[in-house]
Amino acid sequence: MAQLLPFVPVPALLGFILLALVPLRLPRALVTGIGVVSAVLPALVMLPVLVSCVGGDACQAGTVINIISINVSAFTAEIAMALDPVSVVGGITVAFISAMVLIYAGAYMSEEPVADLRRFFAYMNLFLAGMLAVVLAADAVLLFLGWETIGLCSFLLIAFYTKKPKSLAAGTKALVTTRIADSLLLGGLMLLFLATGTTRFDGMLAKVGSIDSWQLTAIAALIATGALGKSAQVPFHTWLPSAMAGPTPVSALLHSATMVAAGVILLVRLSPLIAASPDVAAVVALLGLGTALLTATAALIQRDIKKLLAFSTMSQIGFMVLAVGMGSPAAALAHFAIHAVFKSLLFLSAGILSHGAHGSTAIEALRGSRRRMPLPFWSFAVGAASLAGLPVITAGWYSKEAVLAAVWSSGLWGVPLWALGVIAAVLTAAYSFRVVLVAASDGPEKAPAPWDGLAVWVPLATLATLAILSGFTVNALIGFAGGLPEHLPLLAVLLGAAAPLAGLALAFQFERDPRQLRRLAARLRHRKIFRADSLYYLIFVRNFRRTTKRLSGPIDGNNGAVQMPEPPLVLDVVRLVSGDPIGRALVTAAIRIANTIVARFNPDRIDLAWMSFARSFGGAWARARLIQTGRLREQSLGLALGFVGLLLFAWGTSWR
Amino acid sequence: MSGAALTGMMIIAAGLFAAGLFGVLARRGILFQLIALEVALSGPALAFIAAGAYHGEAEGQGMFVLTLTLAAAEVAVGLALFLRIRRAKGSDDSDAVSGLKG
Amino acid sequence: MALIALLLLPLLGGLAAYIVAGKGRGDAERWVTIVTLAATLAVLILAMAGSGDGRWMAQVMVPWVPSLGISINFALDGLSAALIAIAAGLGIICVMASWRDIRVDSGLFHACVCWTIAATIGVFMSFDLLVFVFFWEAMLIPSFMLIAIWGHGDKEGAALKFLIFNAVAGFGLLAAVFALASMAGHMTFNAFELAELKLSPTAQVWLLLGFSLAFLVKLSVPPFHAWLPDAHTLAPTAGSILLAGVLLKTGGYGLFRFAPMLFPDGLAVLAPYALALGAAGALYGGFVACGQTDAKRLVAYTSIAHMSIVLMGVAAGVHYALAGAAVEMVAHSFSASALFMLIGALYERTQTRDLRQLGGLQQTAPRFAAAFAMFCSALLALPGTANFVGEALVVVGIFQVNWPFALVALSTLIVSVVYATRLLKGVVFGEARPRHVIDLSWREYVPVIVLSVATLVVGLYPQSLIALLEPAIKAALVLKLP
Repeated sequence: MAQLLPFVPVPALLGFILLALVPLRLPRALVTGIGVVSAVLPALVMLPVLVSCVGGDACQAGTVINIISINVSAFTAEIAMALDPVSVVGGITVAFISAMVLIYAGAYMSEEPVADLRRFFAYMNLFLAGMLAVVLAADAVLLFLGWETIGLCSFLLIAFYTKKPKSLAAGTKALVTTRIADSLLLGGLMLLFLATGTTRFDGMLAKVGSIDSWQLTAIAALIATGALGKSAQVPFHTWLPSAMAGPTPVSALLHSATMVAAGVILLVRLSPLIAASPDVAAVVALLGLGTALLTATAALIQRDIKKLLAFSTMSQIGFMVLAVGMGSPAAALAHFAIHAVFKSLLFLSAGILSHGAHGSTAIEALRGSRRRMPLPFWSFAVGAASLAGLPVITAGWYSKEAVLAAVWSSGLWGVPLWALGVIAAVLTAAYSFRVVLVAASDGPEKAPAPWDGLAVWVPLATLATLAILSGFTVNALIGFAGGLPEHLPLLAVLLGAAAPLAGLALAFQFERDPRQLRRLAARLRHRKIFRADSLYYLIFVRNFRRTTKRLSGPIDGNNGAVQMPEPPLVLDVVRLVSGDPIGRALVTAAIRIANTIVARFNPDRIDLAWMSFARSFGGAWARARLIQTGRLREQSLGLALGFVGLLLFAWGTSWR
Repeated sequence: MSGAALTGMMIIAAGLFAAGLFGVLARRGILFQLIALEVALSGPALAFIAAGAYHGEAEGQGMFVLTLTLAAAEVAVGLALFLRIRRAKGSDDSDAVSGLKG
Repeated sequence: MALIALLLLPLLGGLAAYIVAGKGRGDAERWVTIVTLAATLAVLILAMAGSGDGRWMAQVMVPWVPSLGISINFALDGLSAALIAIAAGLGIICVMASWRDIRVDSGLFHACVCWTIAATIGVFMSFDLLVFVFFWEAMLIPSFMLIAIWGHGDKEGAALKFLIFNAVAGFGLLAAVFALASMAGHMTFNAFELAELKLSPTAQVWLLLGFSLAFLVKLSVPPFHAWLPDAHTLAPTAGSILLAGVLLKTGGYGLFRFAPMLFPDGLAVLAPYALALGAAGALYGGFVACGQTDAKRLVAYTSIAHMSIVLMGVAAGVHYALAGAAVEMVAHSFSASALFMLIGALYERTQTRDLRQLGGLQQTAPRFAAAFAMFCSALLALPGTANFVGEALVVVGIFQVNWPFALVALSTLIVSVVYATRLLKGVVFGEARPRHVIDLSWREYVPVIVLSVATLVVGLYPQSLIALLEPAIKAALVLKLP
């Protein structure tokens, strides 16, 4: 069964090649067909593998399948995939969710021109292949290959509507932010490779004990930072809200369920490494918890449904990261799987709901969806309930409880952190139910015809069912992934169960009296003076620099190529970051730094230096010309002085 | 001739040459520069005579005759140039002829 | 024998192209050039397949001026073969790229292309130092003509800048070569014999500095890079391809081959400074590239950044770093040439290279857009492309020697994303300006496909290239790890 693993990403890769590289003109039906089928096949290939793992310990040990070996005389790198709990759980989740989302996308994107549709499916399939590579990889090379591929696809898909500068700016922001994290990850992986002598994960992890602790901390920190960047945790969290500029299926697949969870998958795979350096683990856990709280608060005051779901994703991933930091990767893995299910469900239903609101993604526009489009509304409600973690009946509760239980029983700081986690759970329930209540309230009755057909209902129904039923599998999942289900005192369990209900109550309160929410939002956005300050400063500073550069005129230094200095990053980026003071500060600081450094380099100063050196010869020549007066007397003087000089020279050489 | 006398003659010769050179540098009129050149020529001529007397060889005097011939030729050419310049520039200022100005 | 043929073929082919252009119909000289370069490739493959002595695939040693120790001493190994193949291949691509572009004096143009390639082949093969210097300087003349006659804008100024920088730096090389040659018991320019000399470290350092001056200027490492942006930007498409794809590599080749061979101790002394210089240069090139609005100039500055990474690889001196430097040279030839060709094709159609006035290729010319996307991914060192393999190997090697510089090298990856997306956004995304752009024709598309396949093959299966380069890498390993 393990031999099937390398073939799992192959259909998606073939789909990409067919759609992107074959120069024939393909009709719309064929494009959609290829795109969807290539995304569904990996799930089908993954099924036998899953079945062989259910019941029995076949997959616990982790068999590794070599794909190719790279021999560069000094070292051998084996590209390999592993069949172990992480890859099975991750693989089936990714494959299944992708299948669902792309089936939906076949209907959702049906109004796009054929060329754009083809591009969309090509990138989505390439993304799927890359993501499967990340999840199934047993060695660092394949993992990083997939990692960067999904980063690039994310850029191309966010910037899918290439005519909108906002999408381009959002895509660039995502790519640059994740690249910063990726380069740190690469550094960490390289150091790990040099310290352990192998690129295979099992080999690396086996030798973790033999690396000296200073280096181990550095490696763990670098890798953790890389993972956090891809998963949009603080301080890398600014790119995800603006990444919502892409089409809804992109947000549903990449930026909720799979790509952003790639960081979590990496951390889970390398959890022995993280566990071996407690400092790094503690920082990771705290960052996760901090992100969970901060972004849950930000989600509460959002006015756009997609941005709310983006913040919610960051918050839930914060929970997963917290679990890993607390030493329970199995709980994180379980929550990843469950979260993928309900988050994609939420996005898909939100897409239909906003279509029913004439394309607006504002939460207010969703009013009356309960009567307008009942089925999407109820699937959204199910998803929201699972997100909030309504006790017992939703899958979300089980996985979140597993995470919180892991936090509680993790030692000295367990209880206070658990309490903070519960607060985050309350906030989660509050924001998710708020949207449901808004959508449930009365509003306009008429709606444009929804997309119909199996392509839309099947994914929604399947995901909704799973969002409720898969709760019972959570314990099995955790056991499968090698974790131990924790047992908490009854009080803690009850408090945990009460949290989503408290959130529901809070949501009712906000819905009944919206002014409270607005006041809260205003107080949080009061730090917008921060934003106004930075905007003002940027505008002022940027124009000031432009003016000085024009005055100093570096143009003539460059032969023939006229250079206008231009700041490289778009200002819109700041406007895209809404409701998030830390994010704003980071972005403005980054822009300021970039402008200072890059702008200073723009007229190539070394080139200007060389050219002024060259021109100085001209100046010296002009001065030397003055000696040539053409007059007889001065020439004779020169003659005489030279003669005297020669005489002196001759006299001097006669000394010895 | 003794060594001290030779030295003295050489100094006079050098002095004549320097005087002539100074004349070329200091005077602007081409005719005066030519006269100064003559004086300067007499310096090496004297040096030749003195050296010939010191060594007791006749080559010194031979070189003196050569120098005289050179001086005559040079004066001829110089005066011709002087007339040419005077006609072309209208003055006998050597600074006026600065066509080789850089 | 094959090696002499390698040299003579392009030389005579260029002459033939020049003669043929005078008479006959329009494109005869282009075909003559293509045939010549293809023949060169064939001879190269023959030479590679021939029996070698393990270290060298083919060797020629003919004394020329025995009293002065000058000889015709050519040797071919994996590194030289790879670079010569690239030179000839890029030459063919040059001809294809300038099919419509060059109409005036095209015979002389193709002759210059052939002669530049001939001179670089001489550089890549020579192991007699005087002959090496001869070919080094000889490279300058035809490329100078390429820029000065068929370039754009202030082409004479750019060509003159190129010539002066490289010629003056060549004096350093010449002086060092003569000094080195006279240090042996009897005067000899044979690099193999000179490698046996045991010179004092101080002497080695000075000689290495002389050699390096020429190599660093050719490799365009800041602060010696100033000739490159103008030369690349204002040269015709074929000129840019040859400059970026071949001439820059001669500098890298010189450092790679001769520095460890002739001056191992000197290299050990200067390595930290070279590492620092490379790091600064990579960041500098990247930063300046981020601010450019001329597409060709942007790619030119990225070449500076990538070549600085090659310098870092050679300076680090460990196996990984050297392998990475060699792979990076090859990979950069592919990607830079492809980008220059694409930008040149775009310029032919739109008469502008300004990123602020271009855009929307996605809608008007999808093949063009796909090609740009492919090579911008190579520019930002996406794993799966050869550029990533080169840079990653270099960074791994530097980690073994000096980890702060490795982190600096990693940060160049971040900068590369900014300039690659800048190029991509400026050309491919956004509103379609101009409204109609003719898509790539097959003549332009075939080189793109060839170069993409090459990049992907080396990127996904690097041992295909590294196995070829292995003997050269081993020979360059002089630094002992602590």
